[in-house]
Amino acid sequence: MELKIYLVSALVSAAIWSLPAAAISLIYGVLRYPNFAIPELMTLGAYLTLLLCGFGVPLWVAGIFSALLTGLVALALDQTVFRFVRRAGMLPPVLLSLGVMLVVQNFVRFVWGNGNLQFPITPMRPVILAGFIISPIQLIIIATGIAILGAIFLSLRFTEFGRAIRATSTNPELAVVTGVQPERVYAAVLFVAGFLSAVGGTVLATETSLNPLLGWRVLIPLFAVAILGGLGSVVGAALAALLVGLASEFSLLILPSSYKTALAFLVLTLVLLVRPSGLIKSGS
Amino acid sequence: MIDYAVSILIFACIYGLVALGLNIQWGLTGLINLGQVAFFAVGAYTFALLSKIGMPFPVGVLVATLTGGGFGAAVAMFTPRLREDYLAIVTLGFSEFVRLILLNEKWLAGGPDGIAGIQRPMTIAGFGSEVSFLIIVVVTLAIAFAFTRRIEGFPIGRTLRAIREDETVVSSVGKVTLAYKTRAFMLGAALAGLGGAFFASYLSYISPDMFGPNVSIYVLAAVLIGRQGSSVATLASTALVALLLEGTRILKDYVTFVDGVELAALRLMLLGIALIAIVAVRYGPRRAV
Amino acid sequence: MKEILEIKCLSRRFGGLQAVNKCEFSVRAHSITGLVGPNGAGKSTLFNLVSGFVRPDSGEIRFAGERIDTLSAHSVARLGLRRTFQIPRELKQMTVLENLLLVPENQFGDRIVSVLSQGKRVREEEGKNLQIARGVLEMVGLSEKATHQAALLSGGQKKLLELARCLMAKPKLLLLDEPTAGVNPTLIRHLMSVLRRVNESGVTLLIIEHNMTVIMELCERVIVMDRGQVIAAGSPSAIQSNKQVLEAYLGGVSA
Repeated sequence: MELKIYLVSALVSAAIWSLPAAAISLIYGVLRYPNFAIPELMTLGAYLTLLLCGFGVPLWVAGIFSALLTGLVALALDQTVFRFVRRAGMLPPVLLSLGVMLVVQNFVRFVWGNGNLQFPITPMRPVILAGFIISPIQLIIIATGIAILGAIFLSLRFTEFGRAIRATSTNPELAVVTGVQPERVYAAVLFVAGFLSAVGGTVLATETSLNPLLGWRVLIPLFAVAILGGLGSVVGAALAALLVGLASEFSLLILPSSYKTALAFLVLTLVLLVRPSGLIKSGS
Repeated sequence: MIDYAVSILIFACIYGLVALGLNIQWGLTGLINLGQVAFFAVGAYTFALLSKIGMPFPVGVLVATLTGGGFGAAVAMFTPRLREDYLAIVTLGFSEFVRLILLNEKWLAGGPDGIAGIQRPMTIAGFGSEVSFLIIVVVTLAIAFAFTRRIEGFPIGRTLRAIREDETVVSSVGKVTLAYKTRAFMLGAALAGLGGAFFASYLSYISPDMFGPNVSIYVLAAVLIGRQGSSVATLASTALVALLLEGTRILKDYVTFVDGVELAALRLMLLGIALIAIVAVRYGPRRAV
Repeated sequence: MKEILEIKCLSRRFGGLQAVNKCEFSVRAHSITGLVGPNGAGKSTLFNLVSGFVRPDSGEIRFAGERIDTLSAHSVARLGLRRTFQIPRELKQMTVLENLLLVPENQFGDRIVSVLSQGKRVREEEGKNLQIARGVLEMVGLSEKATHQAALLSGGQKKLLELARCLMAKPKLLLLDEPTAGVNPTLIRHLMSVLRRVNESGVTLLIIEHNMTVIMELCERVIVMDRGQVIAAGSPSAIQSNKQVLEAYLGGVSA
């Protein structure tokens, strides 16, 4: 019985983490820098959902709108700030993302305060599905994760724009030669990344509660997932999320729960030491 | 007002120690470290724990410095071949890892409540407690400054700068670059540990939430303004950043339309914006490389 | 004649490309040996293998009788086998002198403890090394540029700086990767006379070179590589009339 509970939590964690991790992966694949602001876009997305809920909109509608808004915020930040350091190497955008991290986190703190907030949802009775006890919200989270990742995967694979993104990720010079406009690709990737992060943030807040450290607390798992998934691959991120999710849930058998994140850090370091290219090789 | 000025100066000196450390790692050797706060925290907690068992002030400071350096060497040895982007992720992750340990290990570090009643150094005859603390920290900073200046001017500084420019060349002339990188990282972490000891001693109370990423960003900004490499510029820019950030603490007494949390949030937003502005000026198109 | 460098059955693959394939040859002590071959023949990879920057998949490298194929780059360098790079890797933000002062081994001032010392020993050591560095600069003809930033040197001067950096260590064997590429004809003359003098002082030279005039005038022996293998070796004149060599060059892209 216990094992089944862990399995459900692992699936839920994986569904939540894989979305922002895919965002980190996409940005890394195309723009070649780890973006430390992604967790804060999760926080921002969750709070924007809360704000919209305040107007009496149902949670899922609020979630979609907040994701679109966060996508625009990510896009705007990229165009106003990150665009100036495009050709300056890896470090400047990393430092910028740290700055953005600090600004967004404290903006949220300034507006909504330090306390824990909740979405206006009524807790629902868990259902039993094929012998697993699972709450409807958890079911929705898993379904959302699979649906969105699936959509991203399919559009990367089968649309013209997806091809442009993949081409830029594997070989930027060649992509430009074949008529891809890199700035458009960057813009699209940032919007999608913002969108994914916000959805991740909203579902994470549904599972737990809202506070300004919502995203920051999952920074390490997210990067563990993104690196394990081979930075640049969406499928890799999904599989890695599942692995890290399982590892950290089953670690509860031997470790106190507060060490879930610490364990993710050990996974991250181990992957970097043993197999820095991640489990699944990215395009390059 | 004088009290505020003394307090700002003390914070500036403490962050100056940490920034000098980062300058050895990043400015001189080119090793990016986004988690300098980890070694700062290690130093602070080491000092606090030693203070609890009654160790004298100088012993606590010394052991805190060595422990910080030890942790730095360990991190450097575990991540020898890491590319710049991975080093960025690992150092930032490590700092959060350390904070989580401090938060969770109640038996060791008091958990979320932290450690209180940490000792101050003895007061110097004729001065108040605050001013004597300032004198001691200024003297320490001066020694650390002289030390880093010497490193910069000595052959070892030349080797570290060469590693920053092109590690391949340095190994082609027969030098073990990993050993130098480990030493540079260790020295930088030791200075952060030293800063942490003074931090713990000055506040006499520490808790894990004081060791968030903003301390790392604080010193990153300072080293960045100092154009990475010169410890004179690093110290000057630390003073600038401290004035900007610690200085705005004073506003607490005059600005009444925001509460404490809001003011703290505003100050950290300011730090974030400052970092963004510095990076934009430093690496933006006008200074195209 | 003693062999200073012996290479046996050396192979290295990169992905689908067999860069070096069962390569065998040796270099006589005190000689100037040329290493030629069309682009992509594996010459630079061979240099990377010998200098320890790349590990071989199989085979043996012996330097002065000792196996060095498992050693790391810095250990190989310490044995007295030094190399230059095809594209000069001068330390741009340092002066020419600083580029050279980096080289001497076991400097006391290169250790942290020296920082805590009085500094007298470091000053003496630096003075001594400065003298050596000035001598080396004199030899390669860069004395006037001693205090210039390395980034400001011309392409040819950068090649000289690379050479000087190797000479600082008094090497036994020097691997030179295209020392005259991109250097103007006057400076090539100068460079050749410098190399000859270096050789006369007892340093063995192994030179990758595309400029046949340089090879003909300088080398007593030439090794020809194609597709990762040695296809011929002998005196420059013998090589020039070797049919296999001509085919390799005509078959490949002309350099």
